[in-house]
Amino acid sequence: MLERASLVEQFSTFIELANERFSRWVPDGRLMRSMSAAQNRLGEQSTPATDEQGMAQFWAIYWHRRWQAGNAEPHAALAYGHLAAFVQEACYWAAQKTTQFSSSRYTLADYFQLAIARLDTVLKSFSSERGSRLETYAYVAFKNIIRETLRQQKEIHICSDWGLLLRLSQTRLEASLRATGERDIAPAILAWRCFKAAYDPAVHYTRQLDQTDADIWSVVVREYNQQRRTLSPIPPSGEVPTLHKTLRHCAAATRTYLYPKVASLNAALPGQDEGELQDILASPEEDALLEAMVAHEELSQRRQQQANIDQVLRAALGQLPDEAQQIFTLYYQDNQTQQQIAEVLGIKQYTVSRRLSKAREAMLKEIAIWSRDTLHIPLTSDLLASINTVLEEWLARHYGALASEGSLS
Amino acid sequence: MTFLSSASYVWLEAEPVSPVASWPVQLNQLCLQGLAPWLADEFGITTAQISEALRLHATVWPLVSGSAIAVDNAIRLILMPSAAIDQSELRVPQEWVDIPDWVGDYYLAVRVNPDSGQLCVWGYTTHVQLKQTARYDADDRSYCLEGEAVTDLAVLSTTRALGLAEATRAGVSALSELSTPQVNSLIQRLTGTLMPRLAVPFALWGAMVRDEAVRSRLVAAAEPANLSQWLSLAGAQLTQGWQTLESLLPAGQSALAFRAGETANAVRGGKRLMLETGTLATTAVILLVAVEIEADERMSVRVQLRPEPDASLPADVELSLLSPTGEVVQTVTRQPQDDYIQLKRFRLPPGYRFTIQIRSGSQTVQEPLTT
Repeated sequence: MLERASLVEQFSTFIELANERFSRWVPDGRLMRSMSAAQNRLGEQSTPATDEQGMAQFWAIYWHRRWQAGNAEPHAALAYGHLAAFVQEACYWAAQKTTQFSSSRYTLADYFQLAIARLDTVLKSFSSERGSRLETYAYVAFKNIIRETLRQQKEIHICSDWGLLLRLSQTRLEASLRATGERDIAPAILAWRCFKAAYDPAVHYTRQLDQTDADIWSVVVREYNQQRRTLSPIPPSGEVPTLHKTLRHCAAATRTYLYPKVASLNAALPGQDEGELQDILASPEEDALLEAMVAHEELSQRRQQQANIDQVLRAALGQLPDEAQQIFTLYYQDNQTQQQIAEVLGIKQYTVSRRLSKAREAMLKEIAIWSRDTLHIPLTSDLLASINTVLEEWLARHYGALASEGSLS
Repeated sequence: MTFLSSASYVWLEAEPVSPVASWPVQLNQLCLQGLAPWLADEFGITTAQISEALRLHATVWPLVSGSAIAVDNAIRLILMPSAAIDQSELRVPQEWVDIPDWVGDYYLAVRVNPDSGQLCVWGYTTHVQLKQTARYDADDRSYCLEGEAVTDLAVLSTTRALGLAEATRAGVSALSELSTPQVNSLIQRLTGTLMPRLAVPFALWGAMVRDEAVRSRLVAAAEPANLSQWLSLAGAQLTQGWQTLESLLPAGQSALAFRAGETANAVRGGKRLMLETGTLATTAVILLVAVEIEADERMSVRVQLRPEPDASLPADVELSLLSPTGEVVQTVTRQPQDDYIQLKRFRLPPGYRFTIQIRSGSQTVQEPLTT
């Protein structure tokens, strides 16, 4: 993979894949113009002295803040576009790393698509404070999203339809049904809840459930018909064949939901060719944000804070017992799951969980105490949650998770 | 943001549990027993506490999913098992949030794989968060937090390690007390319902299930009435809402029931059932069962349906015997001249499960029984 040479490219080009590999960078004209314009505005102010990578960080934070502030469309969509362009490599490597040994019939492009589709959630949880870097954070998050999907696909694959309906959350079922384009999902959800209450796998485990299992279906139908009146609009009364069909449909929708649809990679971009000029003209808020970020010497401050945190965390890491460091290496550097680590080390998965979480907690505690004592920030669990994501990003970066890919060849 | 990193997930293996219990009970038992090593390491919970909790929750799990366990008499953990493969939500039944004695500090999200016995604690939330940010789902009376809003476990242990004093509980309103007759009539109303926790308003349900004695009665009522037990105790102790005929019918009528061909050894029981006969009208009917042992150890069972004194049966009422697979074995429909209706006497081997079904209009009531 070619590296993107300029900052403008980093924030306005998208990966095109061919034959399961990187093929080329495709520029988005609107984003190109927007990024150039933003750079020019920055140039009018005194440009902070920093290297290319520092500037990439600067722009990532800038667009992230714009996106966060972004109630005023289409500016938010534009910021989102820049961020989506920026995390392309992170997403590519997350997909590549997690799927290279997978036996799934789905391709790298499928998983890339699946991960980038969740960018919204990733951006929401990213905190640009304390020197955290978006590209590493996104890499860790994308990797986890794909890994989770693979696990779920594997488990669902071996479930019968009826077993699957019991091993499904309502939120997931709702999302699956909505994804099929269904509007009124309440009757199906009710049928599913009645089925879950009536079907006891301890009793029915060995059976192939079909319409002739009158004892289950009579209960499901009776319960459904009693409760359907609480829905609005009231669905027609249920019969065995209709509810049987509804539940089969629920199972099918759930299976489909877990598999990414192959779509054009750029399709996810919001409003690509709309409102050309006005987006690129800076709004007053935008200029104010840019000015503030420069004036407060945010870059140098970030640098300093990053260095301090780095020092605290390195020291904390050095204090950890060897066995904890070994697990960190396997987990963050070698991308192994807890289960794989247990197999490699010949210990229980619980022992791995324990060592990994205790080690992480020790570090989280150190950085929390440091924040409280030197930055004079009162500690709350919300703050700890935010520091926790910073720690995760730092560990991934420290163990070279993303950097170890080398140049994206 | 637990979904972004699985580094804090705690994985455990649970020993298989007795398959005798129903699926929701097994799931909860698997969760509590399986988490024991972690609860010990992380919260200092002893095996004695686990055994005590298993005993206490025997009357909780058939009614409500989830377990409570106290840490140092200071904080309460609520374990919320889910068999779902996905982690899209943490769903907590309203009982654990709105019954004052049941409220917990921390609610742990536990994924259970019932086939492999593998457990994963993947995050937690607090009572405050459930009350303030979770969506209340009125259809199944639960508080539902999106998976993405569930907090990483590292935050819980660090909060405790640093001794951060943060409010974990929000205020909840007290539930009113129920009178004994109220409880009795509610138990009768709930007997035989598939989802009892949704069948009466939460204020009433909550007031019932907080009381262990009432829970025991509710759980017992969900079991089929055991006719062998009736016989061995000579009708001295009827359960599941069954009563002696004398307490249900005036002296003359109770003596008349089952008179023909009856021997002195038969044990008789009756149950008052409510049928919805109109939009707002309900009619009470009395289901009567007489059982006796035959020479070949089989049981002879007779079933009648009678109106309440000075009332009559609904015009279209129908009485049926169903096999364990739900097939109708025999059925009788009321004719205009009938004061009461009865099934043909049937004989069954011991340990056989069957159901008596009463239908009127669109309403069906089932009474599970076992010989």
